[in-house]
Amino acid sequence: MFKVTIEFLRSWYACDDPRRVFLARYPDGVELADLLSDVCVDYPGETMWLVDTIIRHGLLPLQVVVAALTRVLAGGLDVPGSVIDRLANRGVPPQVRLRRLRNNTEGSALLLALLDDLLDVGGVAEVNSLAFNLRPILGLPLYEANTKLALALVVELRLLEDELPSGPGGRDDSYGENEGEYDEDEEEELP
Amino acid sequence: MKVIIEFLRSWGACPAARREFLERYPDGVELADLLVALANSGNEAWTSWFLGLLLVEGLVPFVIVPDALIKALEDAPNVPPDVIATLRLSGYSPVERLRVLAERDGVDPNLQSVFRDLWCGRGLNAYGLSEVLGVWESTATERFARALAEELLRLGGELPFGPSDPDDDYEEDEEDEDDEE
Repeated sequence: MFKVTIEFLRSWYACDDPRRVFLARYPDGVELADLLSDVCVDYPGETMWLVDTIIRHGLLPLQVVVAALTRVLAGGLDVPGSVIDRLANRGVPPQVRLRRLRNNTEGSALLLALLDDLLDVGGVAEVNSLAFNLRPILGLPLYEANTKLALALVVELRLLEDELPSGPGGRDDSYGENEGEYDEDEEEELP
Repeated sequence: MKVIIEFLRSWGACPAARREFLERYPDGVELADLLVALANSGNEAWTSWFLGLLLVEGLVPFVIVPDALIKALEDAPNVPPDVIATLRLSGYSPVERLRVLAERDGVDPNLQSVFRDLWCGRGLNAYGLSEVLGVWESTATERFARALAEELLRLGGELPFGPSDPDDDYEEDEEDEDDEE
């Protein structure tokens, strides 16, 4: 779905060592989901840079990022179920979901800081990894929190595969039986 | 990224749009091709709906939005060079670039409304863009749709490069790395 090449690493200022390893292991590039998954296992120290870069710079569809975050926070220590429900509500655009949660006092200060980060309210001066905010919410060490986010991204990216994600109506509703057999009397309305 | 009929159904496309989509693309179609086809169709309502869906629902990487805007603004008569330069600041996140421009003093209010709506996740402000470009709203929408399609094609399934030019002394550095090995 999204391929990563050595030029990507170079242009986003990856260090020499990771670039060298990347070139040796993936001379023709690699799918992002595979890379994230490999890095989590073999080079966990490099995961933070990769996750932060792809999220902070808007390199992935926001739907994917929010879905991954929801997946991670669902295992958090003190994350209210209502927060997860709101984050998971695909009937509301993802940025609106993040914004509403940020403006809602229901969330903890840590969660608000994380949402601020995701909404880029803090701006580029905030150089801390997203995992710094995620760590206490999950009650995990820094790298583990980050790995969890990375693996959630892997799951969401693989779900995406080559197709755009389906919407709140779900993709399987009565498909097969009815598609293509439109009722002639069906209302001709604009989307 | 491919668009298939289930996608349109799940996002609530109207029956007429779904019927036409099925006739034209029974096996689905690449997103960029669909955007271009919509822009060429002259069907402003459908183009605008689909464009809004992609932007508001965060279905495309946001990093391509400022570049698409730069392309759409190419023929605009009075866009200051510093605005374009800020849009190009790839070291900053795309959201941050749009936010800064939306709040910058002295920028055309119509242009600011375009930046603000994109930054806030409200999609394309076609009216604002049309005022800036001096064209009809439908033309502004089409222009942006084409620009977004071009950026998607440029992406070509690869994650986009960052602020430094990937071709800069690439050969030389690669040799260095080989030497080090």
